[in-house]
Amino acid sequence: MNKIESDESLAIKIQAGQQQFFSEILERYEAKITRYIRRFLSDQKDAEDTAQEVFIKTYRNIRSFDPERKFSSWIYRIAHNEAINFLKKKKLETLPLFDTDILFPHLARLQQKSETDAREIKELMDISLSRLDLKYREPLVLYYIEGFDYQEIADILHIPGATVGVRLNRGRKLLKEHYNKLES
Amino acid sequence: MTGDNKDNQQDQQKQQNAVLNKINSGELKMRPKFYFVLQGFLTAATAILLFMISIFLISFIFYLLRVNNADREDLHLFLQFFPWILIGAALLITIALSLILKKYSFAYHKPLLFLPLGIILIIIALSLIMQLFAFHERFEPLTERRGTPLFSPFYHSAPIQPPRQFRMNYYRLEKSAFPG
Repeated sequence: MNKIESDESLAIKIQAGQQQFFSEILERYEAKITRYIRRFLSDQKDAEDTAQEVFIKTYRNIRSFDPERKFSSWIYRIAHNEAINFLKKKKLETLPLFDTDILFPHLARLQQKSETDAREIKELMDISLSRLDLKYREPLVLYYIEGFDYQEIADILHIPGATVGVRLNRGRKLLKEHYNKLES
Repeated sequence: MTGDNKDNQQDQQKQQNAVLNKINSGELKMRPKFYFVLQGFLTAATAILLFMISIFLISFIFYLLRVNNADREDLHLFLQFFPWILIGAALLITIALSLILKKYSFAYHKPLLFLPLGIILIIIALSLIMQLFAFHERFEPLTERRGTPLFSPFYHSAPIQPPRQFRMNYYRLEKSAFPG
């Protein structure tokens, strides 16, 4: 049976000029990236256009990718930037430039993701994710839906790992609060 | 398969084809490795330049403070001759340096304040070392002799307090000119 080639080794081949391997990257990430962007842009057409722009930038800049690092974090970083730029351009939502949880060090407890906790949060996210601020929504989506760990989320959002923990904790709390409000 | 899923799959296929067509037609090209190497080199060069300028500025501030040291008891005069503009310029450079470096993982993995604080501490430490070796005391006559266009005006327009005896004379004259 053929071993599935890693994203990183595909990227190395593309960097070397074997552009035909980019279709495999598209195959692997097209649905994921569109789904991720769709969490921030409510319009399907906007999300698809933004996702397309992500792949154009990925291909154009693939020679800046360091194969020692994770390709998934790198491409999601591009997707994050594209989504934020779109929101900024349309003046829909913005991330704060300075935030106390990035400015000061935190000692966030790294919580283990239990099966029940993950299922409950995913259900709550389906109901009230759009009510959350972008700064809490993004780590929740990356952790519970896209399956990244703290360090990878830190690399995607360019924030300290401890801040990811803080935002996940607050995001979970806020999700539950929104849900309770809806219930009552 | 539901109709929605089928539509989504078709949309995704269309999107993939659109990107692949752009690649195959040559409309979309990879940037060469050289582009990113040059970008990295320019970023590093800018960061090093800003770093050196800020070390020069801060060490110059220390130099001015030392030159003006004798009259520090006169607070009004001390504040008047304090190099505020240089402090402001050094701060702006530190902010610019932080903005350049914050995209690197060694910077964003730490809390946001650590980067500018680290930069300021390193700059102050290196400036103090320069001060220890009397860099500006040696460099100023050198620029004077050679008339370096960049540094000569810097030393000439430095806010240095007038020597104490001239100030006292001026003070006395002023007093005697307006008795009572």
